[in-house]
Amino acid sequence: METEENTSTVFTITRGSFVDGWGVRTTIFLKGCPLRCKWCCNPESQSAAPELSVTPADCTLCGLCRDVCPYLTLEKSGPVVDRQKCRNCGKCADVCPTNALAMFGEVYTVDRAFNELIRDKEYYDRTGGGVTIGGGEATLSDKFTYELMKKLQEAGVHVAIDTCGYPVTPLALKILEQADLILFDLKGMNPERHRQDTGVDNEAIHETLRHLGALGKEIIIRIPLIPGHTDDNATLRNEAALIESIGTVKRIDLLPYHDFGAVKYQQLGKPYKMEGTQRLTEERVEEIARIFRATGIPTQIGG
Amino acid sequence: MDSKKTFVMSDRVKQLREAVLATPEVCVERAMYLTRSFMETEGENIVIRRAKALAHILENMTVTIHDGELLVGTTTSKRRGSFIIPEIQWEWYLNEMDNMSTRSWDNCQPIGRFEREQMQKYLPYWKDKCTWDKVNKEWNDTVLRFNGEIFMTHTSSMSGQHFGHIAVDYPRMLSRGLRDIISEAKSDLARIPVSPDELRRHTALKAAVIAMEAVITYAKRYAKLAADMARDEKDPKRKAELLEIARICEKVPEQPAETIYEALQSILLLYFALRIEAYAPGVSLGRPDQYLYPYFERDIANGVIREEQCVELLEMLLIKMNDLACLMSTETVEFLSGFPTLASITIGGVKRDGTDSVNPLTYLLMEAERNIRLTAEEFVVRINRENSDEFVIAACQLAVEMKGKIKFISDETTIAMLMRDGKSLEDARDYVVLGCASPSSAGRSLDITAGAINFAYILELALNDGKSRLTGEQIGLRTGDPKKFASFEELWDALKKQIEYILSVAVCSRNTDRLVYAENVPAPLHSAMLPACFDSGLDIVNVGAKMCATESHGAVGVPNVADSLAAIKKLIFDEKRFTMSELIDALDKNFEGYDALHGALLHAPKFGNDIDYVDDIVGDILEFASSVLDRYEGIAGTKHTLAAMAGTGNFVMGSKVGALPDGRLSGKPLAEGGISPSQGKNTSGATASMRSVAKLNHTAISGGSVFNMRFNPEAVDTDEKMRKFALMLRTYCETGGFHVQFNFLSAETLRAAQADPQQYRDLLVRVATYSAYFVELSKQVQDDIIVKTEFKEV
Ligand code: SF4
Ligand code: SF4
Repeated sequence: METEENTSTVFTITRGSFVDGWGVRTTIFLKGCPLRCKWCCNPESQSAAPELSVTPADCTLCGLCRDVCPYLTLEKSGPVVDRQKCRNCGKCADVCPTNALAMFGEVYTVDRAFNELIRDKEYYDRTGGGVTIGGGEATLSDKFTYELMKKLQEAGVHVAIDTCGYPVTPLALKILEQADLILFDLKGMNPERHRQDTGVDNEAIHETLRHLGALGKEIIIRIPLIPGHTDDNATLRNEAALIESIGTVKRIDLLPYHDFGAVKYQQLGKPYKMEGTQRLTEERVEEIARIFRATGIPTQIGG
Repeated sequence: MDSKKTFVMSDRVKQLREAVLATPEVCVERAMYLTRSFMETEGENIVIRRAKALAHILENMTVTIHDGELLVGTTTSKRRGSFIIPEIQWEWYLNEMDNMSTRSWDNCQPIGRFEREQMQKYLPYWKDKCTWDKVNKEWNDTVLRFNGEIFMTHTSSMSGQHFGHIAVDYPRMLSRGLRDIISEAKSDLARIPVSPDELRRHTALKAAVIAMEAVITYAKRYAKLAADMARDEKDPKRKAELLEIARICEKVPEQPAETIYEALQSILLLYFALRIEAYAPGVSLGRPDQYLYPYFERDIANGVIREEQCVELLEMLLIKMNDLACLMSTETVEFLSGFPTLASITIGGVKRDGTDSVNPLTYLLMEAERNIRLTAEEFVVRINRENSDEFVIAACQLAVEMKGKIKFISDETTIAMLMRDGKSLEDARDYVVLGCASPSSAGRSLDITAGAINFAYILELALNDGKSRLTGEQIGLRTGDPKKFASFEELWDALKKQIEYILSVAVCSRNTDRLVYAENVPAPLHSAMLPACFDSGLDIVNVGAKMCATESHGAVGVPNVADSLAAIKKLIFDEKRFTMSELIDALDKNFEGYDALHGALLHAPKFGNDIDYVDDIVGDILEFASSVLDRYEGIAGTKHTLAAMAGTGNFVMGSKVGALPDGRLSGKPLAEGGISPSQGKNTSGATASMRSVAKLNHTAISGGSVFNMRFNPEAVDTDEKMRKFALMLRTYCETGGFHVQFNFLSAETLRAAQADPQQYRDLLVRVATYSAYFVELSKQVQDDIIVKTEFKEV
């Protein structure tokens, strides 16, 4: 029966969000992303399956986890997991009474997700808000996202899709074509560097953007400002020009680099590649904002 | 008027504001003159004695006009003073004389020699005469055992306060003047009283005349002082101001006010007299933007005053309300720490006819508060569908700027609650919010809080065959060995029996206290200022059904009880992962050696996350407790109602309760506020918490309830986000919410204030329902505020 169900791995649902689109929203973050941005602040969203998170600081050394798995040892500092062997089965997290061992991600059916997302309907209606499906990459779980979006739309909920603009299936593209609002991430204009930074080509992404613009979709562009990667003036001016040419972009959100994600890399036992990166100064961020404001499109700093 | 207009504080307002940002000083004048008067009036009728005592205080207390003041009058002889209320309790003031300046919270300045001598001289007079001594003799053993164990500040005597939890009929006084009301009383007194009711009213009217004349005398003392000061004043500008003060105090409150300036001075003088007569945190100014508006409108139209002059006067009014910081005994202060004054001003909502009440003066009051933002004045903002988004956003903006010092109340829910308790639609629409969060009809009803009951303790009784887990004492009923409960229903039945029992004792305790109040501490001035009392001759301590009066019992820890019940239901009875026997053993051992069970309990569904499984249990508990209270009648026909308010009592009450099945460890604080989710347990986002609270049946907690949330100021740092915030608040109010207030402080700011209190002397935080200076709180309360879940966007 489970195999028939349309499911996806959800890593978090944030209710009462003032970002991620218009009005008050609930954002559902799905796991799984075709890109591997070096600066990703949600590394737990990259893989499509639930993953074990380890936070030794929360461990009380109760010893309950020791008995359930051979790949896990208990040291004075807390649990140590052999990441090569761990199958992310979650048994240890089930017994752990604290959050020292916990799972990033839980499998949701469309119905379960819908029932949770519909709860704030009154808030969406009163504030002009709705649901944002993000990730990860929302379109990667194409069947799940499409069905969920349709169900929400039929119930009168405004649906925004947060996307990196790299739909890998026809259904994924259909999701973008039928969403009420697109939050579209742009990550640099230089094809070579884009491939190095994210692992994919950016021309396909720009193509998607132009296509959505031609369909008349409302779009909010989101640009992570990563020092040394996406913050040189040439890149930014090219991006501004591209955005202006689309015609349906309602707002530009600039997202200055932060290192809040670093701790999650530790919890997942993954290396953090941005170590030592400095944050941009406020003056520099303002300067960048001016480049985009010159397009006449409202530009804000932060989501 | 342009609602965006802002006003700069004048230098003199800044100085006046600075002066009340002081550590309070004890003033003995009230106690001294009150006692002297009582010594002289022994044998007379108590109503008359109380009026004469008020008169004696107002005729003799120090009158002072400070530099730059345009509005005059004081509550005590000190800049920020604490008076003594010996007719309620006297002994603790003597016992704690030294401790008052050194205890860990709510400290005053060391008490001076003169004050000590007077206290030692006059306070012992009240032995066996004060209400606390009297009621302690009346109470049965059960009540005595429960006091301080399950009940906190559960009656007025216990908290050391009067019934001053009311907004009197200010508009009547403003438009008629006290002289006209005195004349009415005198002409009624000329008739021969025959029936018992007439005889009672005869005495009440005599007392009313004495009390009102005393207020006039008090005003005229200020008129004289101002005139004397004007004579010696060199600065012609100040001289003119003093002469104007003299003119106004000669006129009001005796005569009707004719300008906004006169009206403000008039209500302020009455306000001080009311506080002196019968203080409790909660003496309120009602809805000043409503009753002052006609004066304001006329003055502006006639060019009598400019907006900025009006704002300066309003600022001075707000500062004046901060001249009192009432000291409470250490026992009480644990429940209400941070010098709560709760001098509420209710704005927004609708008028009696149901139309939008917001007017230009509403905005000016908000502008004045934007500058003053001290602790005593409490702004309550009513949110009604009729109010504009512009108004709601302005109020939210103000709340953010003041770090959250604004209470928001849903009109829809509140009007329904008040009508449930018997108020008419029009009176319900004209409500104000008093004290922590008690809705009441201004000038028409008396709605007071009875105090607080520890519901977590009651659950413990149900889970321990009626015994306290910490002391082993048999406190409650024997409801059976909990290890043998075979179904959730058996546990629920045991809990219901304990609730019924404890509430019956609570009503007994409360009614006994009220009888003592009725006989010993009537408040003739308050009564003269309320038409229902004035017309009937019933004092406010005895007014009961005539005013649809209610007294609400504050349930503390209901979220803990519900979280506990949900965890038991799920893990033991639904999933059968653990047994009742294991649970009880684990509770006895404070979870030591029960990590797996403890972890499972902590992970069970918690209130505040919009999970019906547990939210419905909160509702069931409240509805059941409310239905129990409905069975009882109070003195003079008051209604006993339920509230959900904890003050700061969640700490001391938590210290009496052992480990709970929600995973809370023995002795730790209970959930804060009243129906605020347990600290750090609402992790599903702001709307989820709001929905959890809004889905409760608030008419079951018609005494009011308290829901606190913390937001990171960054969450609302643009106009667009602010608009979303305001609309989210409106949704909460329109979908069943009652009260909500916010702390807009980042944890970093709070930690910085802990480390360097001097730099943060005026940093306001929400404590329970009122605002307090963060640095005046104990470390424990400070830490708790830091822990509370913060909603922010990432
Ligand atoms: S997730 Fe499964 S495989 Fe990995 S450490 Fe835990 S129990 Fe072992
Ligand atoms: S179960 Fe959790 S708390 Fe216990 S030892 Fe393992 S990691 Fe630590």
